[in-house]
Amino acid sequence: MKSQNNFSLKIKIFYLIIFISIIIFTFFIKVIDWVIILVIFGFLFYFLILSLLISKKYPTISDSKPFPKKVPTVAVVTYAFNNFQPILDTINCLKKLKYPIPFYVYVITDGTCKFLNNVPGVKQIILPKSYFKKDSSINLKSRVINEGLKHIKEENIFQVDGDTIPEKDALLKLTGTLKDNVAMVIGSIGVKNDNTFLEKIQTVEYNFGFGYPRLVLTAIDSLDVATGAFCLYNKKKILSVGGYDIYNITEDKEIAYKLIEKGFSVEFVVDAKAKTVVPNTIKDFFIQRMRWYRGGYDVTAKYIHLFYKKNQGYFNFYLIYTTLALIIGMMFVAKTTYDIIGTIVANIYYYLSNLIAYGIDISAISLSHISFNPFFSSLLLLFIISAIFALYFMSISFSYNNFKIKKKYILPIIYLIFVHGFILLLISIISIIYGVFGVKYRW
Amino acid sequence: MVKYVNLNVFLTALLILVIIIIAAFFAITTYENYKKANYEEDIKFLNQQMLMNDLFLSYIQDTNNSESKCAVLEKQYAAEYNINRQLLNKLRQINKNALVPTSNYIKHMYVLTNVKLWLYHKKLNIDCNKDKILVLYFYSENLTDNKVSRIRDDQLNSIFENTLTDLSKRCDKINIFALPYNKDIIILDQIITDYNIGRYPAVVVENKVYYDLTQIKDYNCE
Repeated sequence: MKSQNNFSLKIKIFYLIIFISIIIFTFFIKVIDWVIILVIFGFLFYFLILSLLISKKYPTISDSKPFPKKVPTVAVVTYAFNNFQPILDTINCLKKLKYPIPFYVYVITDGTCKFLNNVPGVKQIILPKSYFKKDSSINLKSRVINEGLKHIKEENIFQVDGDTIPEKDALLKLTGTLKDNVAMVIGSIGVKNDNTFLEKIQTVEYNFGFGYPRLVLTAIDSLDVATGAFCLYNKKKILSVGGYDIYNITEDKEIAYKLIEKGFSVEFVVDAKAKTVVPNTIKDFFIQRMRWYRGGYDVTAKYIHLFYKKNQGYFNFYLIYTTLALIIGMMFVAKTTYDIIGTIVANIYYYLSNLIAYGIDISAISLSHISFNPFFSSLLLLFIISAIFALYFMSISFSYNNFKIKKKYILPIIYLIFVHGFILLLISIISIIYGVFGVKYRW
Repeated sequence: MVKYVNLNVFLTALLILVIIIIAAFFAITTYENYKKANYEEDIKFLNQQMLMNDLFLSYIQDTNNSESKCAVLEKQYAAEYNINRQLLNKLRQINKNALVPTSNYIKHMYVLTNVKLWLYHKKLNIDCNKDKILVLYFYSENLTDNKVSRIRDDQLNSIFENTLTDLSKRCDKINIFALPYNKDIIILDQIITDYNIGRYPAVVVENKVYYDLTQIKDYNCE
């Protein structure tokens, strides 16, 4: 209990430091010298250059490895509760997975899924209903999986979410990589529902993210998210680190950090593919990303000692770099947003004041001098250069992930390059504010 | 622990980044200097024109046929007046967008040139018996970091400038000379003191100072 309280305090301090940094930068830094902006730009740009070099130099790192001669036993695991019948579709797909030896599909349930009783090849692990009781401070999925693992004897666990459908050969392709110190292997996730603009944005985002970015992280042994929707892991290794953290809302990120700390690694296999359902309303998208960011910050705070822990390979560098980059990104987004809104409000206020004071008609006054571009015109050049680099990296990542750019994805790609990062950083800022004020987690 | 990537890859990325940063630094400073050089060229051109004005003025004094000479001089001044107005807009734009702040040299040259131009026009009125109405407009030159006060001043400038533009459209006889309300420039301080200008924005028409826009709006230029 005491250590849990210490941990909460650690998280609070972490959130508070970021929050104060953002506030100081936004409201108290009036002018930033362009040379400093150039250096910050360089800092943020560095990882893109590094990623391009790695993806060119080591293009096959994330290809599937040969299947082991001694076939490991595997349990395919998913979970369902409250009589969730659509799980049957997932189960039917899971049963068709290719694997050299027979395997069971384990469904962890609360006992309400009677329709599963006589399904061949399926084993139910029935847990008490209390395990499925919603509690904003407990990660239900982590608790259920941790408990379910105790009932499984197989060596490897292929864990799949109820709304995720893997391709038939996904398990086969993941297995070869799960060896030596690799404790967990993730595949490439695409989007099942890509009809609306929001869904298309996420389609493009997933197909980019599950391409070269994950190859780069695999290459530097710093893949820090063991995507829970679809992954293969060695049960013994996972249990040796204590399984999933039930107090963290991004259990897949937390377990990756835990594994890396203990000397294991998480790897990515690009040709093991699955499709999942993504949020289709702005509200659901916002809740999901808030969860990702808050969970991510909680994990960073918990493992902040990895910033300086020895023998962590490139992970120290990666962790410090990404944390700083994210904080700097949030500072700039907060300042830009404040400047734009502040400029518009002040202009309208003085415009109306002058209108009242001098009685000048609206048509006589031009608001053309409002500057919507807080970064200077010459720096626009840098923005364009980085957008071109990003576009290039994105396009090679798409082709690596076998994603064909159709006409319907052009607008989402443009949005992704020029707007999406800004929106995500705004959500990230909100998650920091929520963290500081202790707003309850939402799932 | 690390299985794949060699440290050299990190260093190569750093080297590429340093090259890009250095290239960007020089590209930006060169571009900014190029922009400044353009304004300096404009000012040099204007000064050259003014040298010619001096010659014209000397010539007028020594000739009997002052009518045709005055017409030429008036045309010459009008062209310079237009150049200087464009220069003001450019100067403001560069001040707003420049990464490297505009050097005081350009600002001072603009101000001095404009004051000189105003004096020429005054002289033209006397020597050539013209009835041009010369207007001095003192705009606020807010150089503080306070964004809100800058917006307030920009808005005020904007209203004054729109009103003055309307006035100049209405009255052919009006020539407006825009100057910053900046007491650090000695000649401006002198003019501000001479006309007893207490605040900005302010407009001086025929030795009278106006702070109220409605008076300027209704100014009878006949």
